[in-house]
Amino acid sequence: MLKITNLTAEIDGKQILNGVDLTINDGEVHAIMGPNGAGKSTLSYVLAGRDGYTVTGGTAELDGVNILEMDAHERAAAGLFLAFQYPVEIPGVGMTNFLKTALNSQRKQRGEAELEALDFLKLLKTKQKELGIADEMLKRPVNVGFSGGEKKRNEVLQMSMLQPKMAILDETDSGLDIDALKIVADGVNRMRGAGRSFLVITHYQRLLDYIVPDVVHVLAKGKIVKTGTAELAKELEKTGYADVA
Amino acid sequence: MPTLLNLDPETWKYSNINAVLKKLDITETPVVWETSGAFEFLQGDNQVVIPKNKIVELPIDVRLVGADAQQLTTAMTINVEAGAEVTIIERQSGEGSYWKNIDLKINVAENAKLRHYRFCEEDPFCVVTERTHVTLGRDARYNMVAISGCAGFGRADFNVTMNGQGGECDLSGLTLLAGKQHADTTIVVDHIAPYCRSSQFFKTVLNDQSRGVFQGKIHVHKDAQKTDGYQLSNNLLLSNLAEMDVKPELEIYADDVKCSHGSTTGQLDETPLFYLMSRGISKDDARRLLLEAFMGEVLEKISNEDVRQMFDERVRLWLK
Repeated sequence: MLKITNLTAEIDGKQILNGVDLTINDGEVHAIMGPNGAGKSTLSYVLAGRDGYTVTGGTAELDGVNILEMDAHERAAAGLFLAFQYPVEIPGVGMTNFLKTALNSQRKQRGEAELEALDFLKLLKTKQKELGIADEMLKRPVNVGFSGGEKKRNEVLQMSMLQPKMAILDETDSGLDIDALKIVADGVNRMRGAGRSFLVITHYQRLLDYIVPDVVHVLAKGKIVKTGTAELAKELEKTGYADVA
Repeated sequence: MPTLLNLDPETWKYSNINAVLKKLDITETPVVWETSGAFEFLQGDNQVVIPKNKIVELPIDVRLVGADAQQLTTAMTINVEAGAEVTIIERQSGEGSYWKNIDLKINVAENAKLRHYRFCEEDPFCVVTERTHVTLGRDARYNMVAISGCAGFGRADFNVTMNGQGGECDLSGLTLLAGKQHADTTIVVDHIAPYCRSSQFFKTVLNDQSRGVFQGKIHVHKDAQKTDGYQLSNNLLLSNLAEMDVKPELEIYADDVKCSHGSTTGQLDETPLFYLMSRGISKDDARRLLLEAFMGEVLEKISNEDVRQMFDERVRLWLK
């Protein structure tokens, strides 16, 4: 599904990623853990195509196509999704309009027919119910006035509307209480399966109790320094990053 | 120079009208305002009077159209008598090189209500100077929204005098500038009486080498205790060559008032742009969404839905 080979990247001339190698197969859930400053968020932004992050070497292939040469919106249409650590507030842009524009932009780029208003609303209603999202939340501008938990739930709602092939969750657990964490994890688990893979980036092991990964990697100083099973995450929780990083 | 124009050097600091007028080849032309829905309220050519306690349901349209080589100097009076209520749509348009020099006198009497929506679709090479003098009586309400796809050189002056207790005045504006257009909005709200509320909410979108000016002043006089004054100017620069000058002012002589002002001028934020793009929306579409959102906050101030929709449609056309 996603194959990252010797990826190096910098911000403002400062090298952050020092040769990341990572292969995620179809249907797998991988977790990346690591200390602060290891390059976890940089990796997610580089993959999603944020301006200001310069790729200096390597490739990242989504189903055999190097996404690093695409614009951010093209990567999304190709099936990549990034759930933000800090979802962005956009005053004046309504939630429903935003979701519809995003979904139809992706469909258009893929040469699929755009969804009619009614079909879209039906789909939205279904997803909204699954995630326990109130109507009132969808009437507001994107993330404006949302609590921390609502913002993260909104990321999962977008993910389940857009049905990406490869979803990156960047510190989705940060700032969540346990109830919100469960709702978010349920949303992710419901989407697990063939045809979709996940990369879960987190600082803490807690999230991985709810989204159990197939493979756990440790990222330190811009490189993957250790790879193991879900057990590795539990070890790290006890020993900390000092030994591996 | 028509006597209507008073070039106070301080408030004209950022706008050099003489240089602009020199370039125009214009002759004084008789002025005809077109009106609709106003027939029973017209007194003479240039005076609208809404009689006491009259609630006018449908908006009244007043329109001034400019044509090439014209110099139009005109005064219009709108008198909303006590307890009356009306919506006036003022449309300014034209084609060619002309100069409109307008003096608009508005009186909103005790407990009366005026919604004034100004829509400017002027020629990009014309000059427009318009002064709006408003006096508000006790418990009167004046709600003004100006949407401008601006003239080549435009100057809009507002002077609102709040003479009676409990008066409320909301001024909002959206100006879209491109090319070498110049738009200057200069406002003075005089709080004479106590217990009045005023707000100024103005936005400018500047492209190319355009230049915008916003000067807003809340002047709270000695007896105007419990004044609630608010002013906000948000400006969006879409080009490195565009320029915005903002001068917010508070002048306060009473000691128990609430006044605030704020101003921002900047480019579209990169963060929301990336957020939208990461969801599959192209950069152009994302920019348009953010721009519409920026402008929408002004359009929302138009309480009449039909008028808002009509303005909204026109603004979307300008964006294309």
